[in-house]
Amino acid sequence: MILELHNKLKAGSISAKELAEEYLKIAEDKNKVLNSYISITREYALSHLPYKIESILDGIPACIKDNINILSTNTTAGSQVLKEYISPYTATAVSNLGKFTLIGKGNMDSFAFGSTTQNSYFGPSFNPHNINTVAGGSSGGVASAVASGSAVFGIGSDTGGSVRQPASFCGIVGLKPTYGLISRYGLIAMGSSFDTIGIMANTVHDVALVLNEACKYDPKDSTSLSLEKKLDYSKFNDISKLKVGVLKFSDDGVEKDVMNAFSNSIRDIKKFGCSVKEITIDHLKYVIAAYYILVPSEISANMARFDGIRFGYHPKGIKDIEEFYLEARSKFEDEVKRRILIGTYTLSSGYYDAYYSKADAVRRLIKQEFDGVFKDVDVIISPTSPTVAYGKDKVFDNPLELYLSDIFTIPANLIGSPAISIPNGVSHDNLHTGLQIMGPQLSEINILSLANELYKKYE
Amino acid sequence: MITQDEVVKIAKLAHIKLSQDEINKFQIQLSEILEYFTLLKDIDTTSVREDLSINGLSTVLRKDDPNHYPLDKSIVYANALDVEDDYFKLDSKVL
Repeated sequence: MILELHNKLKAGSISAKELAEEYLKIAEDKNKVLNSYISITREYALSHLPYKIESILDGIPACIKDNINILSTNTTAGSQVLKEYISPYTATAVSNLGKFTLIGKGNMDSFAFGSTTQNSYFGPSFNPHNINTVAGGSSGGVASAVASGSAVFGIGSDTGGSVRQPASFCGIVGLKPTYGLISRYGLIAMGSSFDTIGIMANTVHDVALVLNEACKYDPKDSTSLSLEKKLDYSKFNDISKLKVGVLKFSDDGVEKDVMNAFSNSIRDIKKFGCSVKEITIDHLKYVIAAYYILVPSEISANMARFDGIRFGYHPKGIKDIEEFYLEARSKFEDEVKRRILIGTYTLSSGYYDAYYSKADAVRRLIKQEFDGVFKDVDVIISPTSPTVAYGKDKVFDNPLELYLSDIFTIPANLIGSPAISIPNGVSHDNLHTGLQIMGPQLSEINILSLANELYKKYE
Repeated sequence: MITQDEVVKIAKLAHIKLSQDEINKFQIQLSEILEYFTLLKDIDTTSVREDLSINGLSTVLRKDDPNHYPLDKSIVYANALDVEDDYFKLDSKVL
C-alpha cells in the first residue's frame, strides 16, 4: 500500500495535499465513533507537506502514539497530567521517517499502562470491526486508526505487548523490533529496559518499509544498537528451510476461536515446507510475575520526574512542598497509581532482594532458556493474545486478571527479542485473532518473511 | 495480606495521596498481586549467569557536556509552573 501511494505521489497522479485532506477527513469523521485520536493535527499536517517526494514515506499519512514527542505538538501520553504538555523536541524514530503526513496522535492507556485503552484519560478507543469492543492497548488508538483507514501506518510503543495485542484485536500487523533497534529518544519512558517503539500497518510489507526508515543508530539513546550492515527488511527471505517452534502452552483461558486459528496457521506453515516442532519453555509460567515486578519497579523510578514544577499538572496556592508534590501527583489515573505503588513496594528496602533482584535473576534465566531454544529453532509461534477483543463494558475487578492475558507477548520484552503479530483468522463473532512470530534478537528478516508468506495467504 | 498502614507508608514514599476508598481498594489489589509474585520464590536462580546482559550492551557513556542536545528553552519553559532567569520557579512561600 505504501509503495503504491509513493508511486502515485511521485508520478503526481495525487498530491500530498490531496492525500492529507482525504485521510484527515476520514480521521475526523471516524474519530467521533472510534476515538482513535487524542488530537487530529490538521493544521500541522497541512503546514508540513513535502515540497518534493523523495523518500518512501514522504506524504504518507500516519498516526503516532501520543507518548511519542513531536516538536511543538501536544503530547499527552493519554494522561490528565500531560493534557497540556507541548513537546520541546521530536523523537528520533519520528524524525527518521522523513516528511510523512501526521494525521494525529493516537489514543492510549495513560502512560501506556494497560491493554484496553480504558485507562486513557480521554476514554477508550473502539474496535473498527465491532464498536462494542475495545481496540486493545496500550497503542489501541493507533491500531484503531490504521484498521479504520485513517492512517496508512502507525507508530506505537511496546513494553509488554502494547503494539502486538491491539494489532491482533484490530486485525492489522504489528511489529515489536529487537530492543534498541529503533531509538527510544523522545518516547515517554515506561519500563526503560523493556520499552521499544513498534510499527503498525495493514500489510507486512508496509511494516518492513517503515522499519527500514525508523531504525538508525542514535547516540541520543544509550541503548541504541549500532549495526555493521544496514538491511533492507522489505527483501524477504525464502522461508522453506525455516525451523519453526510451536510454543507449548496450557489452553486454559485461551478462547476456542483463537486455538482454531492457531492450529490452522501451524498447518499452513507446514505446507510452506518449514520444519515444525513443538517447543517447551519451562519458565513460561513465571514470565508474568517477573514482568509485573520489574516493569512497575522501573515505572516507579521513571514516574518520579512528575513533580508539578517543570511540567505536568501545576497545583496552585499550596504552601507546603510535600503537599505540593502530593497534589501534583494526585491527578494520576488509577492504574498509574497502582503501578507506582507496586514498584515502590518491590524496590523498597527489605523487599528489594525478595522481589526485584529475584525477578531480575528470573529474567536472565528466561533469557538463557530462550537462547537454548533458539539454537534449535529459528522462530517461535504462538497466539498473540489468548482472546479476541474485549467487550467495551467488560470490567476487570482484579487487575491481575488483565495482566495474565499478556502471557504470549511479554517474553519478547523480557528477552529483548523481536516479535510480530499478524491477523490469522476471524472468530464466530467477527473479531480478529492474531498469530505471533518471535525470533532471537535481530532476526527481524526471518519473522517478517514468514509473516509475509502467511499474510499473503490470509489476505 | 498487606496492612492498610503498609499501603499508606508505600504511598507516602511514592508521594501519592490516597483517599480512604483508594486505601481499601489498593490494599486488596496489591495484596493479590504481591501474593501472585510469591510464585517466583521457589525458582532456583543460583545457576543464572551474573554477567548475562539481556540486550548485549555494556555501560554506554557519553561526554558530560551540558550543551550536548540543546532544546529550545522557550518551549521547555512553556511547560513549567513558572520561570525566572533560566530557573524553574516555585512560590517563595513553598518551603
